[in-house]
Amino acid sequence: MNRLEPLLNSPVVRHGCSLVVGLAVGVLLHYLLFRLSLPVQPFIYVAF
Amino acid sequence: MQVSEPHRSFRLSLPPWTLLAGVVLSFVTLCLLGREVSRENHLSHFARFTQWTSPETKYYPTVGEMMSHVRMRMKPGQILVMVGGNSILRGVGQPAGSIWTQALQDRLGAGYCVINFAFDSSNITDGAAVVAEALRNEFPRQIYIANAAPAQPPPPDGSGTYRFMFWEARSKGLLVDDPARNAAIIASNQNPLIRNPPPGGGDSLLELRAREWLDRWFYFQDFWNLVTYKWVNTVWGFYMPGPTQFLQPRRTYADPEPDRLKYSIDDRYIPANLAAELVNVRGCSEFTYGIVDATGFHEQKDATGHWVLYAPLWDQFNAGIKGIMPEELKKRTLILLSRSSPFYVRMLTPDEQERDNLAYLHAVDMWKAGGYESMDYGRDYTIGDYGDRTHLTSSGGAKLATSVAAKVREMSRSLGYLTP
Repeated sequence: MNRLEPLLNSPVVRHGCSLVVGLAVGVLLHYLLFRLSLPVQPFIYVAF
Repeated sequence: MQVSEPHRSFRLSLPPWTLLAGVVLSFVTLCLLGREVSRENHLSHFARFTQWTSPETKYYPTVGEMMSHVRMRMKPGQILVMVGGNSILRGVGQPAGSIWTQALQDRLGAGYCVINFAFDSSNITDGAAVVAEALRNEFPRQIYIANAAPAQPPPPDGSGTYRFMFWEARSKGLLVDDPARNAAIIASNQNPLIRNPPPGGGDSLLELRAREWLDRWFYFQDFWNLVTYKWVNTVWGFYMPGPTQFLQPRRTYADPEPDRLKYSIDDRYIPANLAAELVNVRGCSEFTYGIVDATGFHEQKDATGHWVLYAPLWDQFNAGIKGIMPEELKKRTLILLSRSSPFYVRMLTPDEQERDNLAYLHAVDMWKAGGYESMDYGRDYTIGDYGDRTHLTSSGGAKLATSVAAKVREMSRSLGYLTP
């Protein structure tokens, strides 16, 4: 773990990771808008 | 689970503004991509919508993707023939390659572009009508075809499951702002069942408008439909095949429609369903002729033996079809009245058969009086032309294509589409 500490403290890594997490959250938000807007019950076709 | 101290401090030290910038960057990028892909056709090898590209499996085609598909298909100088309506016009009973709209395209030739945007249980005012209206200025030489049963006016903003298309187009400013239709929509939505449909019948009006308002800005429907169609299906449902197979993109699913021409008569006209099907057939004309007195509704003929129209029903119908479409689009609209299979019609009493025939003929007259073009079909079809009570086999589809092609040519002439 000690070997990772300098890496984790690097500003570039911290900003990079923050950006990646942010990008993922943005994608998730956009997908959630799509997914939550779909009707819960599917349409079931019955010929009549 | 315990998080180690370096990890905890790392997580806490993630710069929030960079994180927020990442959120905004990806969200805005997807919105812009969604806007962009709404203008590109991604429906490949398209002959019609199938279960895999319809609300039956939670795929809700956007108006944008349908408009893009039309743009891709239309060649310079062609007349657009947009087919909407329900499963009958979608071609249920006709396998891929033998769909009636393909026969219609063959009969009309290269001067016309026939596009089948019909959906199961869809109505005259659903998807295809919306797309044709949205493209009215781009492709002014257009004919819209849909089907109906006698004396049934469609809702002005589309029917339950498919109403999202009307509201999507409206929220994006693609439709004619027609005062008569606006008034009809307000009146129609007074009905609590239309405003808040039961489960499986589509979104409530409030949810629908909220969704389409959000999509107007964020284009999430177009973007994720593209992903679902082209790369990976993101919408699971119990109807999708296999535990992992459902991830396959929608474009890889074949059109599953069987060829009902190969069905035996008992498979087409299931004996156990006979009573129920006769109720359906009678229902097409049951309340179209008659009177209401203190004891209720009675079918009635006058002294000369002619059926008496049930005026309240037809008055309601006439009022209903007035506001479903802007005036300028009515004359290019062909309403087909779909008759039931002779297998069942011949089982009705002679009086019922006469009433059934008259109801279809009168409905054609009423649509015409309302400013639309209209014709019925099926009276001279055989039992073999039907795959069940109402859907056509490819032989019936070929007959329909022949008569509709003649009508489309006639309409093209009268609308001035053929003058150079």
